[in-house]
Amino acid sequence: MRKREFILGLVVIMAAIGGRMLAHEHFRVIGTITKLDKKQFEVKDKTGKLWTVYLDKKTKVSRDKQPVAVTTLKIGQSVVVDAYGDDESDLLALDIRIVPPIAATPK
Amino acid sequence: MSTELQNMPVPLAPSARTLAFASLAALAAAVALLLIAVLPAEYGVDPLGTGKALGLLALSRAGHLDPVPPPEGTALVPVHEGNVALYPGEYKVDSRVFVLGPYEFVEFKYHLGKDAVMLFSWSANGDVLQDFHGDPDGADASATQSYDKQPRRKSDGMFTAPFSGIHGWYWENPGGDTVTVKVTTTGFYTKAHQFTMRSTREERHVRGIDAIPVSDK
Repeated sequence: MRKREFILGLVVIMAAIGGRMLAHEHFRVIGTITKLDKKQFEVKDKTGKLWTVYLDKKTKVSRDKQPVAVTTLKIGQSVVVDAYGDDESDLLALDIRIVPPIAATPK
Repeated sequence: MSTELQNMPVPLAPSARTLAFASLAALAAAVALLLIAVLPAEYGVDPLGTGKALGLLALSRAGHLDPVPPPEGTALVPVHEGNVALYPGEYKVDSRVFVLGPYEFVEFKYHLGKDAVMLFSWSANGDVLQDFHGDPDGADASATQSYDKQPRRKSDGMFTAPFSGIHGWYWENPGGDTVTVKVTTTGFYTKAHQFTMRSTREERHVRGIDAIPVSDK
């Protein structure tokens, strides 16, 4: 009986964790890198809003559709970041594209 | 000559009794015809049941048919009657313009019931990545079904929803120049939803057929 309850509890916990992971939303951030370190970077979008995005080992970085090292990222580069997270303050970068400088959009 | 005329038999005048009997017989025949045929056929009055038996009641209905009500229900799903698909409500119309800055995307979808139909026309003034797809009601993202992902700048067509859910387009600007996408649709949808890069889902108002200008030409 105890074994059955244990397995049932385990299934419930795994379902809860899985549900939380699936609940992550997709965000796209487009702008210029303003801060950068090994764990995270900051992007300023066209509205002036600052976005903090975390990096991890699975984060992919590319330029001209070719993969490049994370160390290629530099302050001042224009990037398109596809990230997942629960909300805007908790974003993990999945894919970062280094793109040509984006012209400022007239407001 | 006059002798011959005098010898001819003179026809007998009917008696008053015979006349009365003939008149009553004619009257009875007229009343019978009225009850058997005229009243059922003209007025739908069928005291003897002969109108129903002879199929005459249909003649009385031909002039003033009872209107058939539209299909019941709130969901805009079609009910097929031969070559005609009838819906329990009116179709909607919608038109949108999306200005996509460099590398931006937008997703716009309409809610259609299974087998409901939508006509569409969209065009972009530059290259876009597009994906016409649908998500079943209540399902997660893994259930998404793509209908057309070919590179296009323009598409005009008709869509029949394979399931009840939201159906529409993902447009992405793959380059550094701004691209404008214009889409116009009409169909038996009930709602529209816009999904943004900020992972928001916002319901958008769709217009009824009263929004269509009436032509006076």
